[in-house]
Amino acid sequence: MTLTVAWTADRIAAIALGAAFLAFLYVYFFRAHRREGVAAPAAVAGTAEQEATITVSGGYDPEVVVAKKGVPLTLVFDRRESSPCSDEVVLPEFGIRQSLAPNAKTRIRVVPERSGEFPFACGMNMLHGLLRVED
Amino acid sequence: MTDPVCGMAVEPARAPAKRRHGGREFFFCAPGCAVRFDKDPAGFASGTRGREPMTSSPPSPFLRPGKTLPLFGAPASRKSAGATVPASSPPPLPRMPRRERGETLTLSLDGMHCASCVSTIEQALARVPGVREASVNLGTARASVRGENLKAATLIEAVEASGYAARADSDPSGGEDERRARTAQRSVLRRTAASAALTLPVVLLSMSGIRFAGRDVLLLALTLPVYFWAGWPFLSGMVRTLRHRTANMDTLVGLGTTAAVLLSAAGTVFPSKFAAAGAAGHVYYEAVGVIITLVLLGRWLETRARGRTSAAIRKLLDLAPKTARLIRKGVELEVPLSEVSVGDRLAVKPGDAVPVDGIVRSGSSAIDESMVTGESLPAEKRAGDRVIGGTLNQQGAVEIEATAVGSDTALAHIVRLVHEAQATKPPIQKLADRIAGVFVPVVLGIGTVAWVAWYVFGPEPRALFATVALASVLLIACPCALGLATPTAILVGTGRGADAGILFRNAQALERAKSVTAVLLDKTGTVTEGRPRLTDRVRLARSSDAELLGLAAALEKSSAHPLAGALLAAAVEKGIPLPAVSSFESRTGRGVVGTADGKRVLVGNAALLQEEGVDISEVSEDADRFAAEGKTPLLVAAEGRVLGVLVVADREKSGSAEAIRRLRTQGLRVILLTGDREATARAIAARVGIDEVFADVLPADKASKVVELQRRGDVVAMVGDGVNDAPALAQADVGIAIGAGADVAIEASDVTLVGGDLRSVPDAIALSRDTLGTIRQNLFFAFGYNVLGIPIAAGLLYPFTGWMLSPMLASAAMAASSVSVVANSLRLARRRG
Repeated sequence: MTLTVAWTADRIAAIALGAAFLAFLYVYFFRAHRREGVAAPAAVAGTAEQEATITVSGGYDPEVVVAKKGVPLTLVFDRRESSPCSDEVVLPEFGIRQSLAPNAKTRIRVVPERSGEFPFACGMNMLHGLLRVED
Repeated sequence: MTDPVCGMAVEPARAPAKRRHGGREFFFCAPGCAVRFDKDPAGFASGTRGREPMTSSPPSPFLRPGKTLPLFGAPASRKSAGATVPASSPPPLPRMPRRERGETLTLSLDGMHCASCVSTIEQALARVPGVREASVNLGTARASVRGENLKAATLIEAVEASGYAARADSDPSGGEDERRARTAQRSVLRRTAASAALTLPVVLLSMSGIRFAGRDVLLLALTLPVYFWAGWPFLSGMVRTLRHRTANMDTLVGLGTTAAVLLSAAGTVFPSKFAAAGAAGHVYYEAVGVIITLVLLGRWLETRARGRTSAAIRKLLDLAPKTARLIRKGVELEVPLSEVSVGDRLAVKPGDAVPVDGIVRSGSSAIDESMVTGESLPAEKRAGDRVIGGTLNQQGAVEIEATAVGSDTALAHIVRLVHEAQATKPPIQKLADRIAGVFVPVVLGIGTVAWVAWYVFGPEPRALFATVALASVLLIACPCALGLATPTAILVGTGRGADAGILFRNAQALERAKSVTAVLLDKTGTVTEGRPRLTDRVRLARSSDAELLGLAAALEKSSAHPLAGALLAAAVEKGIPLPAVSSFESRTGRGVVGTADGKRVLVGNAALLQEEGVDISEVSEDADRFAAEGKTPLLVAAEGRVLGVLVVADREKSGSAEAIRRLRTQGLRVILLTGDREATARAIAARVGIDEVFADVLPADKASKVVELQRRGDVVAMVGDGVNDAPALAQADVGIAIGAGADVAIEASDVTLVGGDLRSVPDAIALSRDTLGTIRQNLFFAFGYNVLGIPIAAGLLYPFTGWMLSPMLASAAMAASSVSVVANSLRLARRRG
């Protein structure tokens, strides 16, 4: 079948708009993603423990947690929503799949024994965060 | 800035409390520190106090000097969490007195940041009348309060007065979390019901075709609460995710419904413009209501179903009783399980669940261990036998000594192993994960392209159709089905395994087990019981049972040979008294020679007796026959004359033959691996139905046999029980440790069978095949659904068939897709396991 299209101004504008929106989507979701780390401070002054609170609300905030190697680390997931998308958090390298109670804090304690970057994600791998362990 | 009280780093802008003293500003990590500061501002400000969170605090009334307060991460065990006695303090202080049977209340705390908060709250609680003891654990953010006539409300008040938040927490094992989850579920259900109630008139009115002035305005008025209130989770989720530059289901549903609402509202507010464009009356209010109702309903069903996927683990956790009968100075006392420690004596009555792992010290009973080991027959337990916490005592009463408590018990190990396995992902999920990660942005892109295509090429009214297509694409796409496909099946599969005493170390092992082509079975302890027993006996007329077995057992008693135990056990079982032994000599590879009951006795093989000049013609035929069956005949002679033959053998386990038959039905090559001689090995193999045998294999060579099979292209499962199997278990594609019993921490294996029944091996392989099958179905469905659904929603079929999916149908399909994936995974649990 043949399409005869009158190339009116609004049609051309729609194409331009669509293209611009696609470019925006690409940049918004895949580029220029801030990935600054937030260092996990000592949980208690003078103790060899570190702790970081991650707010879970449509994503992980901060997205990147920086921790010191070999020091026990408590990640406090402060979940402020009940959307099932963030029901669970998975730290594959640590063998942890933990359900997060809605509107509550869930503490997960790990000992980062190797340095490197260890991603964590929601149970469906749509929300992403990163634990960076430094020497 | 640092907190002058506890010394912790504080960010002034975010400090929850601040004080001004002597012209300087001080910031505190928590209100509690500020309260402490107020008591001695000069001291803290000058630095003469503080910085050392613990020593600066006045000794709390319930802590003896010399104790240290809890540090973060101190084990949350016992009632005085973290309060430890320094190692130097001579004789270990008794733990908190147990005789006080006062009640214990647990509070969940909020707002604690440092160890200083711990002591503030502890002191506040200790001042409440009736409180005998209060301890706060920073790690778990919980306070445990002990005393009489405690009221949660009073305690919470006391905590709140010191600047923190608290709530009653009757079940410290996470009951609070469950309660919150239930609350969230109820709120979803409420929204669903309200949404349905408001949507029903909208649907009826829209479909009836009744037209009157202001109809659309009425529909708009009915729809707005649905959109804003019932759909709030999606709207707020959409905003939250977009702020994080991420996207999930909320984003899609939020954008989809927003598009439909805006379109309809525009048509209602500017009807003339719509009429001019040939789109008069095109409003989609009913669609918005139905979409939100359906997606909420789907979400409720999905969460409910997902809760069931971990039911098996919860069942395991519930096995351990909440209390134990502690025996202290002959008095039996019912105490909470958390107060039992290693070395305690506990009474286990008929019908009781065994509270912790232990060793039977007195009494005997049959204990049903099926919940842990998967073995259906109750195990006989008497003094010296190990019992596993969570198993069920049947008739007898026993007294046990606790050997492992809390997180050290076998049950806790099992739960931990299963939890860890459930957190892993099988390789099959990798692709689905990669897709899920970019799914929503890509769908937004497809929606954009669909909108442009409809706008440019579509029929009039173009803008309307374009927007409807966009909404449909957003609403039909369902990344959840993709994301749920594997984890739910793994949860159910590993849970069903745990139920039957089959523990997969990780999801990779679960996936690999399905492609096994050859199963190597270690003989001793795997196919056989691993414990030689007296199986047959040939007694010549001149002797008696008591004489034959008594003399042999008496002599063997001094021997360390494994066969000796079999004779001894048989004698004890039959109540045969053992005569005194006056001399004893072991002849390696032949047997033993000695004097018992004043007679010169020989126990050993034919060679031994012949050397000693004993005529064995009367029994040699029998001995040869038993040897051919793979058993060990022990010839017994006294005073130069043969008395008879005692036959000792390691018997096959009762389920071995059936297990092997089932493995062969599964299309697997089954091979027996043993250090026995070929003939012995063949005899045993024949009895259990194996034709392939690797005999004469030294323990060290077991692993190389695995390699040999792997070189020939087999995917090998190695089943073994012992330490000397570890290299072979590690070398095999799937290492299966059998009969681990209470000792489930077997590092080398991929699969641990808690019980000793060989039938668990075909069960494990069947479970792996079932689970992987379910995962494949789920992934196929989830991919197929999106790959077909999205183009149809985008209107790809329209040019050919004139079909255009309504957003309503799209959302129904979406809601159904993730529910069906979870339901399919749940089917796994119902199959024979």
